[in-house]
Amino acid sequence: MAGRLISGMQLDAPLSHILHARGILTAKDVLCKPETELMELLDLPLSRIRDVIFQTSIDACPPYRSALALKEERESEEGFGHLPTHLMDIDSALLGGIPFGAITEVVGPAGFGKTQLCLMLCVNAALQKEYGGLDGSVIYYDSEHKFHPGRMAEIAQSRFPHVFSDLNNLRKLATSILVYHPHSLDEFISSLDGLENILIEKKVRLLIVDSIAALLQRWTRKPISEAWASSSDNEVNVAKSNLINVRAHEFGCSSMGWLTSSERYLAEAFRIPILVTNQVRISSNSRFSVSRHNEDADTMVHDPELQLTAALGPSWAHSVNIRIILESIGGQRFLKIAKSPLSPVTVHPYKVTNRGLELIGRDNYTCGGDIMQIHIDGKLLKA
Amino acid sequence: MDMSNVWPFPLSLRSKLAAAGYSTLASLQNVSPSALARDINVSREEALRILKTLHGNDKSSSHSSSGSSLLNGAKTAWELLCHENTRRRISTSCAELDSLLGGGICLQEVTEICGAPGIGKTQFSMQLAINVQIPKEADGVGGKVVYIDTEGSFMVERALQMANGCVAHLHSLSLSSLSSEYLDVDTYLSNIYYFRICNCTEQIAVVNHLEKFLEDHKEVKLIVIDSVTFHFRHNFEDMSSRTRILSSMGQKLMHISESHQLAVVLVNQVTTKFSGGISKLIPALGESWSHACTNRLILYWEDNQRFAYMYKSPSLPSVSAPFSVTQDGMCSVNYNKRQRV
Repeated sequence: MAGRLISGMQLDAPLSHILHARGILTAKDVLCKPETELMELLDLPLSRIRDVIFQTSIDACPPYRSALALKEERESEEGFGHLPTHLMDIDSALLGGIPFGAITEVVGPAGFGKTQLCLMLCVNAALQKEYGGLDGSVIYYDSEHKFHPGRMAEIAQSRFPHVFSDLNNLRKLATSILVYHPHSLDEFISSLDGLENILIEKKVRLLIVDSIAALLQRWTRKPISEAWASSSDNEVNVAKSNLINVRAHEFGCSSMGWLTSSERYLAEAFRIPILVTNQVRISSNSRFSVSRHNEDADTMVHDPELQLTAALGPSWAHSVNIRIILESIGGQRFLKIAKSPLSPVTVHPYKVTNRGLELIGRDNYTCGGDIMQIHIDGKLLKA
Repeated sequence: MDMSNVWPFPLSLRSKLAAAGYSTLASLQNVSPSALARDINVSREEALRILKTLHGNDKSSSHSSSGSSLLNGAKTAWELLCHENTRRRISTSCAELDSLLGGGICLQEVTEICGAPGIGKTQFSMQLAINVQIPKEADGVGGKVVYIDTEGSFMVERALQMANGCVAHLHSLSLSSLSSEYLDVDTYLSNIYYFRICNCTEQIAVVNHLEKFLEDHKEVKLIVIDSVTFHFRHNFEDMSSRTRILSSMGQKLMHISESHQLAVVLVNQVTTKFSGGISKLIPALGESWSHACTNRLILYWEDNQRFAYMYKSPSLPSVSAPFSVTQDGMCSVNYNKRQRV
C-alpha cells in the first residue's frame, strides 16, 4: 500500500499534476514527509496540504477486520492455522503447533537438534491430510549442507511406519521437499524474488531457512567473535556492495529490516509458517571471554556458567514471533518456548532419537534467571 | 474627530484622557491597560474598565475578545480535579498492576509499555483490548477497541482464550443486570477492530485516518498500537526525519486521546546501549520519543517473576509490581488457577 501511486487516487486534476511534477508519486512520498516540507515543495497553503495528506491516508490505510472475522478465517483454514509438531506438550502449548503467518525461530548450540526439528516438520507438512499433515510442499533453504535425505526418510519411517513402509509414499514425500543451497546472502535474496510464483505453483505449506545466522555470518567480514560482540541494530552490517543493501536502499530501510519484512510478507500473504534456525553467540555481558581461534591451552576457560544468547541481537529477537530455545542443563537437554504470544514460558526435556526429537516425561519444569539465556553445560570450548 | 465628549465617563476622567492625548477610539485601539493606566494616572483595573466599556460598544474590535478567548479555552484546576475523579480506567486484571497504575490504564492519556522480547507486552495489550469491553455494570468502561498490529503478533486463538477468561470472571460476579451478549465470547471478538500494518507509510496513514474512523465509531475507548517501533526501527536512514515523523505521530495520538476521551496504549521495543563496556537494554526510538507518552511502563524479568515498573508518570510513584500471565490472561501473582510462569 505504501507504493500506491498518487495517480490512482481521487485527487483533482490540477493537484495531481503538481504532485507529479514535483516528484511525489507514491503514498510514501506524501506521508513520510513533514507538513512543512510538503508545503515548501508544492507551494500550496497548509489547508490544501492537509487535504492531500488526509486523502492519501484514507487511501493508503489498509481495511480493518474484526477479530471475529479473523477467528472465522482461521477456523476455515487447514489445520486451523497451525502445523502440528506431533510433540504433544509443544502442540498444546502452541495451541495446535507452529502457527501460520508467523516466523518461528529455533535457536541452540551446535548439535542440539535444530536440523532434526526442521526435518520432522518437513515430514509433517508434506504428509497427507488423513494422517494429520498439510499435504503440501516444503521449501528448505539449507545454507550449511545439513539436510540429509536419508535421515529424513528414517524419521518419516519411524514416526509413520504404516504410511511410509510403502515406498511410493516415501517418494511422494521426497519429491515435495525442495532444497536450495544458497552459498551467499546475495543468492538467498535473489531467490526470494521468484519465490512467490513457486509458493503458488507448488502449493508450498512450509518455508524453512536453516540457518539464517550462517547466511549472515558469511556476509560480514569481521571475525565472528568481534562481529557478534559489537552487534547492535546498525552494526550487523555489511559490505557496501551487496545485493541486500541495494534492495534495502530501494525501500529506504536497513538490510535487516528488509529481510524481516520480506519474510513476514511471505508468511502472512500465503498463510504459511516460516521456520528459521539461529545460532548462539557469547553474550556481551559475559565476564569470561573465550577466544575461539586460539590454540593455546592456557586461554581456554572452563566456565560452568558460560553466558550464551541467540545471535543477531535484540532487534532480530523482536522480529520473530515465536522463539524456541534448545539448551542443556545438568546434562539433560531442554526445549524451552521462550517467546510466544500463545503460551507462557515452558520447558520440556527431550532427547534425539531415530524419530527425530522426542519429549521425555511430563513434569512441570520451571526455569530461572534470564529467559533468553541459553545454557550449555560447562565444557571446554575448543577452537 | 473628537468624540470624547460622548464617552460615558465622568468629566474628570474625560479631561485626563484628553490631556494624555486619547480623544478618539482609534487612539485607544492598541493601547494596553498598563500603558493607559500609566498615562492617565489611574489604577490598572480602572484602565481595563475604561477600555472594556469603550470596546464593548464597538463590535468589530478584536482587543477584548482575544483576552476572553484565552479564558474560554482554559479550565480551572478545580474543574479538572472534579473531572479526573470521574475519569474511568481500564483494569489490567491484575490487582497489583492496577494499583501501580492508580486504578488501571487511564482514559485520555497515552501510556507506553516497553520491554524485552517475550516479556508480555502483546499479552498486556490483548488483555486491555478485552478488558476495555467489560460493561459498566461490572465496573468497566464498556467500549470498543482499535488494535493496530504492526508485527503480526496478534493471535486470535489467544484473544479467544482471554475472552473466555473474562466471560468466566463475569459469570462469577453473577450480575443480574448484565445482558447476555457480554457473556458471549464472540461479542468480545467482534468489538476488536483489527488493522494489520505492513510498513511505516501505512502506520502513518492509519494514525491520520483515526480521526475520521473515530467519528464513525464513537464507542471506541482504547487504541492499541503493537508495536509502534517495528517499522520505524529499520526503515529509516534519515534519523532526523524519523524523529519529526514520530513526534508528529505522538502529538496526533495525544490529541486524539484527549478529544475523544479514550486511552492510547503504545508498545515499544528495547535496544542495546553500550556504556562503559556494559550493555543494557533501553526503550527504543530514542530520547525524543520518550516525551510522546504520558506514562511509561517498563516490563522486566527478575528471578522467575515478571515485573512492571512505572518509569514515568506525572502523578504516580515509580514503583514495581509483579504480575503473571496464565491461560486466562494476565493476573496477580497469587492467583491459584493453573499457575505457570
